[in-house]
Amino acid sequence: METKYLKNWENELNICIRCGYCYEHCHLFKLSGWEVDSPRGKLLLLYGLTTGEIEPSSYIAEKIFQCFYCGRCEGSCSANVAVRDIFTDAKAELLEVGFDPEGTVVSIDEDFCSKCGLCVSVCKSEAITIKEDGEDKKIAVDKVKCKGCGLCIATCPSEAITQKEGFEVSQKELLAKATNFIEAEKNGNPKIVVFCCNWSTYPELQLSQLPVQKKDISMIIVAMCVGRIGPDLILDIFSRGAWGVMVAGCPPEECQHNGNYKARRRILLLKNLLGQFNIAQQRLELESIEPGESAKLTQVMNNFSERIKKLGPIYKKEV
Amino acid sequence: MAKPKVAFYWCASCGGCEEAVVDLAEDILKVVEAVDIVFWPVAMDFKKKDVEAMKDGEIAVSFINGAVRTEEQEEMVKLLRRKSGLVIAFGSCAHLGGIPGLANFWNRDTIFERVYKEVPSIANPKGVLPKTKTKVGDMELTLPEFWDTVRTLDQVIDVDYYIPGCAPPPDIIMNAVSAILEGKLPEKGSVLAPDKSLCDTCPRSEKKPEKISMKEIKRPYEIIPDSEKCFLEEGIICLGPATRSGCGEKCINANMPCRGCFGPTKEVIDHGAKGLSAIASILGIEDEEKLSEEDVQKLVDKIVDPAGLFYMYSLPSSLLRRKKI
Ligand code: SF4
Ligand code: SF4
Ligand code: SF4
Repeated sequence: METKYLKNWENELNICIRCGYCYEHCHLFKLSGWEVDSPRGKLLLLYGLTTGEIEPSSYIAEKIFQCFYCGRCEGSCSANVAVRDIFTDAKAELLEVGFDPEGTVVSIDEDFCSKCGLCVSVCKSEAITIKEDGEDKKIAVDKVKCKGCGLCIATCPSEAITQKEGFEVSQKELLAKATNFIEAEKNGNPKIVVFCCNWSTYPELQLSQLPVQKKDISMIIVAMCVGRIGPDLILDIFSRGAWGVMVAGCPPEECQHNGNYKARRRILLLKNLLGQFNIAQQRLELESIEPGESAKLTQVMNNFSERIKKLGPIYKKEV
Repeated sequence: MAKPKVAFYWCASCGGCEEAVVDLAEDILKVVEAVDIVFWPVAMDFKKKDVEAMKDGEIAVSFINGAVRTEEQEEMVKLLRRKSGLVIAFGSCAHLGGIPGLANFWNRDTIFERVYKEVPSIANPKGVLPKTKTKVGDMELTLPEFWDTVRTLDQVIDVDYYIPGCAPPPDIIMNAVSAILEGKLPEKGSVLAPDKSLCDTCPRSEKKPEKISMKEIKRPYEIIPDSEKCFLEEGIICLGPATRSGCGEKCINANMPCRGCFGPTKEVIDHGAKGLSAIASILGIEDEEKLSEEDVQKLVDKIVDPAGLFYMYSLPSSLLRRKKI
């Protein structure tokens, strides 16, 4: 295929030395274990498209459209390849030649969308706009710009925004994971659910030796971006018997999507609300961890679990 | 052919839902012509024993308003459930708990203390409180038990459909009644009102800026809102984005923000949490990169009583249901 946007990246695609440092950080690769889901694999495919050795297919297009833009791969890239910018241009290219994959791009369910416009405001990537639609208006998602962060999903008060399931980060999937953990824990250990973003916190968790983790008293769930954790998800987890919930993301200024700012406001407000329900506010905590600060993370987690252990379960009768 | 039998009943409610039926005006004549009202405590002299005497399923439809908070209410709705083909939860209280549901921030003892001892208008020197059994001479008087927790109708009995609103507006009621009479009902469990939220029909939606941000929080009494601007733009929390439409925008037209009486839209499990998330997401969003944690805390603290606001009509139906006791 004659490439329009990708041909500008031909050199960059060659800079990738195929070392594979990126793939162990990529959520999508971790889910499937297939090379085609790793940043390296996708770069190779795109290189093939630019040189004409590979013809585009809907399978390739679907893979390229699957990216949460966390940027973790770039952080570990030994050759500084602009992976995400390449993917964005590749998306534009593939759309232009007629592919229309779902990927991690969100879509709007028009049966439920009231055009309240809140999603438009929260999207840092300016991927959502209100478009004239004849007499009426409608909400449109720019498939190239959308980075799949899920911020808008947690914002939409009508549940009108959806993203393909199977990446283990939808509210439903996150809830199912947390619920399984809560129900399986029967030894009287504290039921602590920790949501991590894939950038600052989770890699540190992997590196640090967390005693809490070893004793298996808390459940760590990678949510990609903390901006997709909705208050309803947190309340659901509490109502199912969690003793504490920690949400750990990037420090201010460092989130790719500004999801941490939204999470901060939602969680501070939710804490106020929990107090009114006579649920100790310390049971819910938002932490921001600088990448590389595994000592801090260990400490924060330990403190949290000590505090929660003292508080015990919320409801005397375990629900 | 015999006319279908219909019953109306009220539980923990204000009486507004009964008014709503009367508000049908001449349309009520059409209803009365089409059906046979067999039970309606507020308007007609039928007794519980009359209902008990009926065959199971004999009543075609029971419209039950009010939340369930006493033993008697529970007994009555269970009886009506047995005797009815369809049970419709009528109005916010039966649907979501409504205003009486806010009592779930207290329990029986604290409510009794307040109502029978503390309020300035009460004189009760002996501190007498209602009891389920009282001896008077050699007689025993009884009162139904008053539960700690207010429940929605569907937390007590199986409910077929919901008519939302505090109180439900006449057109929503008439549409529901026609759908029942014509047998054109949607799937069981549906709320008989539009699926989209209020912003869809709100007259202020038109002029809303493309990116909406709440710079600050104002309570309705603090300013006289511009009658054309979206409330959010003025810093007034409006639950319209999170609340089902169909109300006819009565509050909005009276220059008051939506407080959520129609409840959430179809896919939402917790009305308050969704409203909270929506508002928190746009609060101070313009300057979010500049605000310190303390600034954000201050901004958020300006929302006085978030639980009472976001769950004004839906506390018993929420995930947490009540304050922990
Ligand atoms: S937040 Fe939801 S309901 Fe509002 S405009 Fe966006 S998709 Fe539509
Ligand atoms: S907020 Fe995130 S998921 Fe939603 S449209 Fe924007 S980039 Fe995509
Ligand atoms: S937020 Fe309230 S005032 Fe604004 S458009 Fe929606 S319903 Fe209307």
